[in-house]
Amino acid sequence: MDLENACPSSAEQTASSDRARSAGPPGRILLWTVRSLTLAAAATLGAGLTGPCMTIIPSLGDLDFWVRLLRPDMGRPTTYSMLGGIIEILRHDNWWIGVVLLLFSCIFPTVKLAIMAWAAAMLAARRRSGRLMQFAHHTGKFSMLDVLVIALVIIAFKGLPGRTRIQLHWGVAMFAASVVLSLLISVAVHYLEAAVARAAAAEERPPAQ
Amino acid sequence: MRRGTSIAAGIIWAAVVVVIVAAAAGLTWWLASREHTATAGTASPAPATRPHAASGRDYYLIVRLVEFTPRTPSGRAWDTDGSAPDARVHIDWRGNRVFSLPPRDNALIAAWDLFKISINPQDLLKLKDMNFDPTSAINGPIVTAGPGETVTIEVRDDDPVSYDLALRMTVRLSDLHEGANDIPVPPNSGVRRLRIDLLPRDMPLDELLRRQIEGK
Repeated sequence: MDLENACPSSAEQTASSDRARSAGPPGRILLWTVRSLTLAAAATLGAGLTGPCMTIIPSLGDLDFWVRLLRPDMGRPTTYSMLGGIIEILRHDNWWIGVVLLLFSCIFPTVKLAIMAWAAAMLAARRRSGRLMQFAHHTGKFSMLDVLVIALVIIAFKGLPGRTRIQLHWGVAMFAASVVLSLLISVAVHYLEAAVARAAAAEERPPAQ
Repeated sequence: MRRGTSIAAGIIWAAVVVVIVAAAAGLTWWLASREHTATAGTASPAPATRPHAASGRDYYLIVRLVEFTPRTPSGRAWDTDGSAPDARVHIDWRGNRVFSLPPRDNALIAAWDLFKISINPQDLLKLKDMNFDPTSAINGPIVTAGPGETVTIEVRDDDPVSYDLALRMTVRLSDLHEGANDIPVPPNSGVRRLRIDLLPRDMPLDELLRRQIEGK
Protein backbone atom coordinates (compact mmCIF):
# COMPACT_ATOMS: atom_id res chain seq x y z
CA MET A 1 0.00 0.00 0.00
CA ASP A 2 1.34 3.43 -0.79
CA LEU A 3 0.42 6.72 0.77
CA GLU A 4 -1.24 8.05 -2.35
CA ASN A 5 -3.78 5.21 -2.25
CA ALA A 6 -3.98 4.99 1.50
CA CYS A 7 -7.77 5.37 1.80
CA PRO A 8 -9.31 1.96 2.31
CA SER A 9 -11.13 0.75 -0.73
CA SER A 10 -10.89 -3.03 -0.69
CA ALA A 11 -12.22 -5.72 1.57
CA GLU A 12 -8.86 -6.61 3.01
CA GLN A 13 -8.41 -3.09 4.27
CA THR A 14 -11.76 -2.91 6.04
CA ALA A 15 -10.44 -4.44 9.26
CA SER A 16 -7.78 -1.83 9.67
CA SER A 17 -9.73 1.06 8.22
CA ASP A 18 -9.35 3.19 11.35
CA ARG A 19 -5.60 2.76 11.34
CA ALA A 20 -5.30 3.46 7.63
CA ARG A 21 -7.43 6.58 7.87
CA SER A 22 -5.36 7.87 10.76
CA ALA A 23 -2.10 7.29 8.85
CA GLY A 24 -3.26 8.00 5.26
CA PRO A 25 -4.72 11.53 4.91
CA PRO A 26 -2.09 13.36 7.01
CA GLY A 27 0.55 11.37 5.14
CA ARG A 28 -0.91 12.36 1.80
CA ILE A 29 -1.14 15.99 2.84
CA LEU A 30 2.48 15.90 3.96
CA LEU A 31 3.50 14.09 0.78
CA TRP A 32 1.89 16.68 -1.46
CA THR A 33 3.24 19.46 0.75
CA VAL A 34 6.74 18.06 0.22
CA ARG A 35 6.16 17.73 -3.52
CA SER A 36 4.73 21.26 -3.89
CA LEU A 37 7.52 22.75 -1.82
CA THR A 38 10.11 20.82 -3.83
CA LEU A 39 8.74 22.11 -7.13
CA ALA A 40 8.56 25.66 -5.76
CA ALA A 41 12.10 25.38 -4.39
CA ALA A 42 13.35 24.09 -7.76
CA ALA A 43 11.71 27.00 -9.61
CA THR A 44 13.04 29.62 -7.16
CA LEU A 45 16.49 28.03 -7.20
CA GLY A 46 16.65 28.19 -11.00
CA ALA A 47 15.40 31.78 -11.04
CA GLY A 48 17.74 32.73 -8.19
CA LEU A 49 20.77 31.35 -10.00
CA THR A 50 20.37 33.34 -13.21
CA GLY A 51 18.22 36.29 -12.08
CA PRO A 52 19.95 39.60 -11.30
CA CYS A 53 21.55 39.28 -7.90
CA MET A 54 23.51 42.45 -7.24
CA THR A 55 24.74 45.60 -8.95
CA ILE A 56 28.08 47.07 -7.99
CA ILE A 57 28.10 50.83 -8.50
CA PRO A 58 31.75 51.90 -8.37
CA SER A 59 32.70 55.25 -6.96
CA LEU A 60 36.18 56.62 -6.49
CA GLY A 61 35.47 59.51 -4.18
CA ASP A 62 37.02 62.81 -5.21
CA LEU A 63 38.52 61.31 -8.37
CA ASP A 64 35.23 59.78 -9.44
CA PHE A 65 34.44 62.48 -11.99
CA TRP A 66 37.81 62.15 -13.68
CA VAL A 67 37.79 58.41 -13.72
CA ARG A 68 34.33 58.41 -15.29
CA LEU A 69 35.56 60.86 -17.86
CA LEU A 70 38.84 59.21 -18.70
CA ARG A 71 38.07 55.56 -18.09
CA PRO A 72 34.29 55.29 -18.48
CA ASP A 73 34.45 51.51 -18.31
CA MET A 74 35.78 51.69 -14.75
CA GLY A 75 32.82 53.74 -13.56
CA ARG A 76 30.16 51.61 -15.18
CA PRO A 77 27.79 49.75 -12.83
CA THR A 78 27.94 45.98 -13.25
CA THR A 79 25.07 43.62 -12.52
CA TYR A 80 25.76 40.00 -11.69
CA SER A 81 23.59 36.97 -11.29
CA MET A 82 24.67 34.24 -8.89
CA LEU A 83 25.80 32.03 -11.77
CA GLY A 84 27.25 34.97 -13.71
CA GLY A 85 29.26 36.00 -10.65
CA ILE A 86 30.64 32.49 -10.26
CA ILE A 87 31.57 32.35 -13.96
CA GLU A 88 33.29 35.71 -13.54
CA ILE A 89 35.23 34.36 -10.55
CA LEU A 90 36.29 31.32 -12.59
CA ARG A 91 37.30 33.55 -15.52
CA HIS A 92 39.57 35.51 -13.19
CA ASP A 93 41.43 32.29 -12.35
CA ASN A 94 40.05 32.02 -8.83
CA TRP A 95 39.38 28.34 -9.48
CA TRP A 96 39.21 27.20 -5.88
CA ILE A 97 36.58 29.73 -4.77
CA GLY A 98 34.71 29.41 -8.07
CA VAL A 99 34.46 25.63 -7.90
CA VAL A 100 33.42 25.67 -4.23
CA LEU A 101 30.70 28.24 -4.93
CA LEU A 102 29.56 26.38 -8.05
CA LEU A 103 29.39 23.18 -6.07
CA PHE A 104 27.50 24.57 -3.09
CA SER A 105 25.26 27.11 -4.78
CA CYS A 106 24.34 25.37 -8.07
CA ILE A 107 25.06 21.69 -8.06
CA PHE A 108 24.54 20.80 -4.42
CA PRO A 109 21.13 22.51 -3.94
CA THR A 110 19.85 20.94 -7.17
CA VAL A 111 21.06 17.49 -6.16
CA LYS A 112 19.65 18.00 -2.68
CA LEU A 113 16.20 18.87 -4.03
CA ALA A 114 16.37 15.89 -6.38
CA ILE A 115 17.23 13.63 -3.42
CA MET A 116 14.29 15.05 -1.46
CA ALA A 117 11.95 14.42 -4.38
CA TRP A 118 13.36 10.90 -4.62
CA ALA A 119 12.91 10.41 -0.86
CA ALA A 120 9.30 11.63 -1.03
CA ALA A 121 8.60 9.13 -3.81
CA MET A 122 10.18 6.34 -1.76
CA LEU A 123 8.19 7.31 1.34
CA ALA A 124 5.01 7.45 -0.75
CA ALA A 125 5.67 3.80 -1.52
CA ARG A 126 6.36 3.17 2.19
CA ARG A 127 10.02 2.54 1.57
CA ARG A 128 12.96 3.97 3.51
CA SER A 129 14.19 7.31 2.23
CA GLY A 130 17.73 6.00 2.23
CA ARG A 131 21.22 7.20 3.14
CA LEU A 132 21.21 9.93 0.51
CA MET A 133 18.39 11.65 2.37
CA GLN A 134 20.37 11.46 5.61
CA PHE A 135 23.28 13.00 3.74
CA ALA A 136 21.01 15.78 2.44
CA HIS A 137 19.74 16.41 6.00
CA HIS A 138 23.26 16.82 7.34
CA THR A 139 24.63 18.95 4.53
CA GLY A 140 21.62 21.29 4.38
CA LYS A 141 23.45 23.92 6.35
CA PHE A 142 25.93 24.45 3.48
CA SER A 143 23.10 25.85 1.37
CA MET A 144 23.56 29.15 3.17
CA LEU A 145 27.10 29.47 1.88
CA ASP A 146 26.10 31.80 -0.95
CA VAL A 147 24.09 34.06 1.31
CA LEU A 148 27.12 34.21 3.57
CA VAL A 149 29.39 35.09 0.64
CA ILE A 150 27.02 37.86 -0.51
CA ALA A 151 26.87 39.23 3.05
CA LEU A 152 30.68 39.22 3.24
CA VAL A 153 30.98 40.94 -0.15
CA ILE A 154 28.55 43.66 0.95
CA ILE A 155 30.40 44.21 4.22
CA ALA A 156 33.70 44.33 2.32
CA PHE A 157 32.38 46.90 -0.16
CA LYS A 158 30.79 49.00 2.58
CA GLY A 159 34.23 49.28 4.10
CA LEU A 160 35.89 50.46 0.90
CA PRO A 161 36.70 54.13 0.45
CA GLY A 162 35.08 56.05 -2.38
CA ARG A 163 31.41 55.32 -1.65
CA THR A 164 31.17 52.25 -3.87
CA ARG A 165 27.67 50.86 -3.42
CA ILE A 166 26.01 47.50 -3.90
CA GLN A 167 22.35 47.13 -4.78
CA LEU A 168 20.71 43.78 -4.19
CA HIS A 169 18.11 42.48 -6.64
CA TRP A 170 15.38 39.89 -6.65
CA GLY A 171 17.77 37.08 -7.57
CA VAL A 172 19.01 37.05 -3.96
CA ALA A 173 15.43 36.89 -2.65
CA MET A 174 14.68 33.96 -4.97
CA PHE A 175 17.81 32.12 -3.91
CA ALA A 176 17.11 32.77 -0.23
CA ALA A 177 13.51 31.59 -0.76
CA SER A 178 14.87 28.40 -2.30
CA VAL A 179 17.15 27.86 0.72
CA VAL A 180 14.27 28.43 3.16
CA LEU A 181 11.97 26.16 1.16
CA SER A 182 14.58 23.40 1.10
CA LEU A 183 14.86 23.66 4.90
CA LEU A 184 11.07 23.40 5.18
CA ILE A 185 11.11 20.39 2.83
CA SER A 186 13.73 18.80 5.02
CA VAL A 187 11.46 19.23 8.06
CA ALA A 188 8.40 18.03 6.12
CA VAL A 189 10.26 14.93 4.90
CA HIS A 190 11.22 14.23 8.51
CA TYR A 191 7.53 14.34 9.52
CA LEU A 192 6.63 12.27 6.47
CA GLU A 193 9.10 9.62 7.57
CA ALA A 194 7.49 9.62 11.01
CA ALA A 195 4.00 9.37 9.47
CA VAL A 196 5.10 6.42 7.35
CA ALA A 197 6.68 4.76 10.37
CA ARG A 198 3.45 5.28 12.36
CA ALA A 199 1.37 3.85 9.52
CA ALA A 200 3.68 0.83 9.27
CA ALA A 201 3.49 0.28 13.03
CA ALA A 202 -0.31 0.56 12.91
CA GLU A 203 -0.48 -2.08 10.18
CA GLU A 204 1.71 -4.44 12.16
CA ARG A 205 -0.54 -4.16 15.24
CA PRO A 206 -3.17 -6.93 15.47
CA PRO A 207 -6.65 -5.66 14.61
CA ALA A 208 -8.90 -4.81 17.58
CA GLN A 209 -11.57 -7.42 18.34
CA MET B 1 3.69 -0.59 -4.95
CA ARG B 2 6.43 -2.81 -6.32
CA ARG B 3 10.03 -1.90 -5.64
CA GLY B 4 10.83 -1.29 -9.33
CA THR B 5 7.85 1.02 -9.75
CA SER B 6 8.72 3.07 -6.68
CA ILE B 7 12.32 3.44 -7.84
CA ALA B 8 11.11 4.56 -11.26
CA ALA B 9 8.77 7.09 -9.59
CA GLY B 10 11.69 8.32 -7.48
CA ILE B 11 13.89 8.77 -10.54
CA ILE B 12 11.11 10.59 -12.40
CA TRP B 13 10.50 12.99 -9.49
CA ALA B 14 14.23 13.65 -9.12
CA ALA B 15 14.54 14.27 -12.87
CA VAL B 16 11.52 16.61 -12.82
CA VAL B 17 13.22 18.68 -10.11
CA VAL B 18 16.45 18.95 -12.11
CA VAL B 19 14.50 19.87 -15.25
CA ILE B 20 12.53 22.57 -13.37
CA VAL B 21 15.75 24.08 -11.97
CA ALA B 22 17.27 24.16 -15.46
CA ALA B 23 14.08 25.47 -17.09
CA ALA B 24 13.60 28.22 -14.47
CA ALA B 25 17.27 29.21 -14.82
CA GLY B 26 17.03 29.28 -18.60
CA LEU B 27 13.76 31.20 -18.62
CA THR B 28 15.05 33.78 -16.13
CA TRP B 29 18.28 34.19 -18.07
CA TRP B 30 16.31 34.68 -21.28
CA LEU B 31 13.93 37.20 -19.68
CA ALA B 32 16.83 39.08 -18.07
CA SER B 33 18.74 39.28 -21.36
CA ARG B 34 15.54 40.39 -23.14
CA GLU B 35 14.95 43.08 -20.55
CA HIS B 36 18.57 44.20 -20.93
CA THR B 37 18.16 44.41 -24.71
CA ALA B 38 14.88 46.32 -24.34
CA THR B 39 16.50 48.78 -21.92
CA ALA B 40 19.39 49.30 -24.32
CA GLY B 41 16.87 49.83 -27.09
CA THR B 42 14.90 52.48 -25.25
CA ALA B 43 18.10 54.28 -24.30
CA SER B 44 18.52 55.54 -27.86
CA PRO B 45 15.07 56.35 -29.17
CA ALA B 46 14.20 56.24 -32.82
CA PRO B 47 15.05 59.42 -34.69
CA ALA B 48 11.39 60.12 -35.43
CA THR B 49 10.55 60.45 -31.73
CA ARG B 50 13.27 63.00 -31.01
CA PRO B 51 12.83 66.70 -31.61
CA HIS B 52 14.51 68.49 -34.48
CA ALA B 53 17.11 71.12 -33.75
CA ALA B 54 15.25 74.12 -32.33
CA SER B 55 15.68 77.41 -34.11
CA GLY B 56 17.86 79.86 -32.19
CA ARG B 57 19.27 77.23 -29.87
CA ASP B 58 23.00 76.52 -29.54
CA TYR B 59 24.21 72.98 -30.08
CA TYR B 60 27.38 70.98 -29.86
CA LEU B 61 27.83 69.30 -33.24
CA ILE B 62 30.00 66.23 -32.90
CA VAL B 63 31.02 63.92 -35.71
CA ARG B 64 31.08 60.60 -33.89
CA LEU B 65 31.77 58.12 -36.66
CA VAL B 66 32.96 58.01 -40.24
CA GLU B 67 33.18 54.79 -42.20
CA PHE B 68 35.19 54.91 -45.38
CA THR B 69 34.50 52.81 -48.45
CA PRO B 70 37.20 50.17 -49.09
CA ARG B 71 38.55 52.21 -52.03
CA THR B 72 38.49 55.87 -53.07
CA PRO B 73 35.53 57.17 -55.11
CA SER B 74 37.73 56.81 -58.22
CA GLY B 75 38.42 53.16 -57.40
CA ARG B 76 42.03 53.52 -56.23
CA ALA B 77 43.52 52.28 -52.99
CA TRP B 78 43.43 54.93 -50.27
CA ASP B 79 47.16 54.81 -49.63
CA THR B 80 49.92 53.65 -51.95
CA ASP B 81 51.23 51.21 -49.36
CA GLY B 82 47.79 49.59 -49.11
CA SER B 83 47.00 50.99 -45.68
CA ALA B 84 43.59 52.35 -44.72
CA PRO B 85 42.91 56.10 -44.92
CA ASP B 86 44.20 58.58 -42.36
CA ALA B 87 40.92 60.25 -41.45
CA ARG B 88 40.78 63.99 -41.05
CA VAL B 89 37.42 65.70 -40.53
CA HIS B 90 36.80 69.43 -40.78
CA ILE B 91 33.60 71.28 -39.97
CA ASP B 92 32.78 74.63 -41.57
CA TRP B 93 29.97 76.91 -40.47
CA ARG B 94 28.99 80.28 -41.89
CA GLY B 95 32.01 80.19 -44.21
CA ASN B 96 34.50 79.56 -41.42
CA ARG B 97 36.36 76.47 -40.34
CA VAL B 98 35.06 76.03 -36.83
CA PHE B 99 36.47 72.65 -35.89
CA SER B 100 38.91 69.93 -36.94
CA LEU B 101 38.66 66.56 -35.28
CA PRO B 102 41.79 64.80 -34.03
CA PRO B 103 43.18 62.64 -36.86
CA ARG B 104 42.65 58.92 -36.95
CA ASP B 105 45.34 56.98 -38.80
CA ASN B 106 44.89 53.82 -40.85
CA ALA B 107 41.23 53.26 -40.10
CA LEU B 108 38.28 52.43 -42.31
CA ILE B 109 36.04 53.24 -39.39
CA ALA B 110 37.08 56.33 -37.50
CA ALA B 111 35.24 57.18 -34.28
CA TRP B 112 35.49 60.00 -31.78
CA ASP B 113 34.35 60.35 -28.18
CA LEU B 114 32.27 63.18 -26.84
CA PHE B 115 35.24 64.58 -24.93
CA LYS B 116 38.76 65.15 -26.10
CA ILE B 117 41.12 65.15 -23.18
CA SER B 118 44.70 64.04 -23.15
CA ILE B 119 46.39 64.04 -19.80
CA ASN B 120 49.84 62.90 -18.84
CA PRO B 121 49.38 59.98 -16.44
CA GLN B 122 51.81 61.67 -14.06
CA ASP B 123 49.39 64.57 -13.82
CA LEU B 124 46.54 62.35 -12.65
CA LEU B 125 47.50 62.90 -9.04
CA LYS B 126 47.05 66.65 -9.50
CA LEU B 127 43.61 66.30 -11.06
CA LYS B 128 41.79 66.90 -7.82
CA ASP B 129 42.88 70.51 -7.77
CA MET B 130 42.48 71.17 -11.48
CA ASN B 131 39.79 73.32 -13.01
CA PHE B 132 37.75 71.77 -15.75
CA ASP B 133 36.09 73.68 -18.57
CA PRO B 134 33.83 71.13 -20.24
CA THR B 135 33.09 73.30 -23.27
CA SER B 136 36.74 73.23 -24.27
CA ALA B 137 36.80 69.46 -23.92
CA ILE B 138 33.83 68.74 -26.18
CA ASN B 139 34.92 67.15 -29.41
CA GLY B 140 32.96 69.48 -31.66
CA PRO B 141 32.03 73.08 -32.37
CA ILE B 142 29.08 75.05 -31.08
CA VAL B 143 26.63 76.02 -33.81
CA THR B 144 23.28 77.74 -33.75
CA ALA B 145 20.30 76.13 -35.40
CA GLY B 146 18.04 78.37 -37.39
CA PRO B 147 16.39 78.87 -40.76
CA GLY B 148 18.92 78.28 -43.54
CA GLU B 149 21.72 77.39 -41.13
CA THR B 150 24.02 74.72 -42.54
CA VAL B 151 27.31 73.10 -41.68
CA THR B 152 29.75 71.66 -44.18
CA ILE B 153 31.50 68.47 -43.26
CA GLU B 154 34.66 67.57 -45.08
CA VAL B 155 36.18 64.13 -44.69
CA ARG B 156 39.66 63.59 -46.08
CA ASP B 157 42.33 60.95 -46.23
CA ASP B 158 45.39 62.92 -45.30
CA ASP B 159 48.55 61.87 -47.11
CA PRO B 160 52.04 63.31 -46.52
CA VAL B 161 51.94 65.59 -49.56
CA SER B 162 48.28 65.77 -50.55
CA TYR B 163 44.90 64.47 -49.56
CA ASP B 164 42.04 62.51 -51.06
CA LEU B 165 38.65 64.05 -50.54
CA ALA B 166 36.30 61.33 -49.36
CA LEU B 167 33.24 63.48 -48.68
CA ARG B 168 32.22 67.09 -48.67
CA MET B 169 28.61 67.64 -47.88
CA THR B 170 26.43 70.36 -46.51
CA VAL B 171 23.92 69.46 -43.84
CA ARG B 172 20.99 71.64 -42.92
CA LEU B 173 20.88 71.95 -39.13
CA SER B 174 17.09 72.04 -39.07
CA ASP B 175 17.12 68.55 -40.64
CA LEU B 176 19.02 67.12 -37.68
CA HIS B 177 17.45 65.65 -34.58
CA GLU B 178 18.73 66.17 -31.07
CA GLY B 179 20.94 63.21 -30.22
CA ALA B 180 22.44 60.79 -32.72
CA ASN B 181 21.89 61.27 -36.44
CA ASP B 182 22.86 58.84 -39.16
CA ILE B 183 23.40 61.06 -42.17
CA PRO B 184 22.60 59.61 -45.60
CA VAL B 185 25.73 60.12 -47.65
CA PRO B 186 25.95 60.41 -51.45
CA PRO B 187 26.52 56.95 -52.97
CA ASN B 188 29.48 58.09 -55.10
CA SER B 189 31.46 59.43 -52.14
CA GLY B 190 34.29 57.74 -50.30
CA VAL B 191 32.22 57.50 -47.13
CA ARG B 192 29.75 54.78 -46.39
CA ARG B 193 28.52 55.90 -42.97
CA LEU B 194 28.46 59.23 -41.15
CA ARG B 195 27.09 59.74 -37.67
CA ILE B 196 26.64 63.15 -36.11
CA ASP B 197 25.53 63.93 -32.56
CA LEU B 198 23.67 67.15 -31.95
CA LEU B 199 23.55 68.01 -28.26
CA PRO B 200 22.07 71.17 -26.72
CA ARG B 201 24.84 73.40 -25.38
CA ASP B 202 22.94 73.84 -22.12
CA MET B 203 22.80 70.09 -21.56
CA PRO B 204 23.90 69.40 -17.97
CA LEU B 205 27.42 68.10 -17.58
CA ASP B 206 26.27 64.91 -15.90
CA GLU B 207 24.06 64.15 -18.91
CA LEU B 208 27.03 64.70 -21.22
CA LEU B 209 29.09 62.41 -19.03
CA ARG B 210 26.33 59.83 -19.05
CA ARG B 211 26.38 59.85 -22.83
CA GLN B 212 30.13 59.45 -22.76
CA ILE B 213 29.95 56.64 -20.19
CA GLU B 214 27.16 54.78 -21.91
CA GLY B 215 28.74 55.25 -25.31
CA LYS B 216 25.62 56.80 -26.80
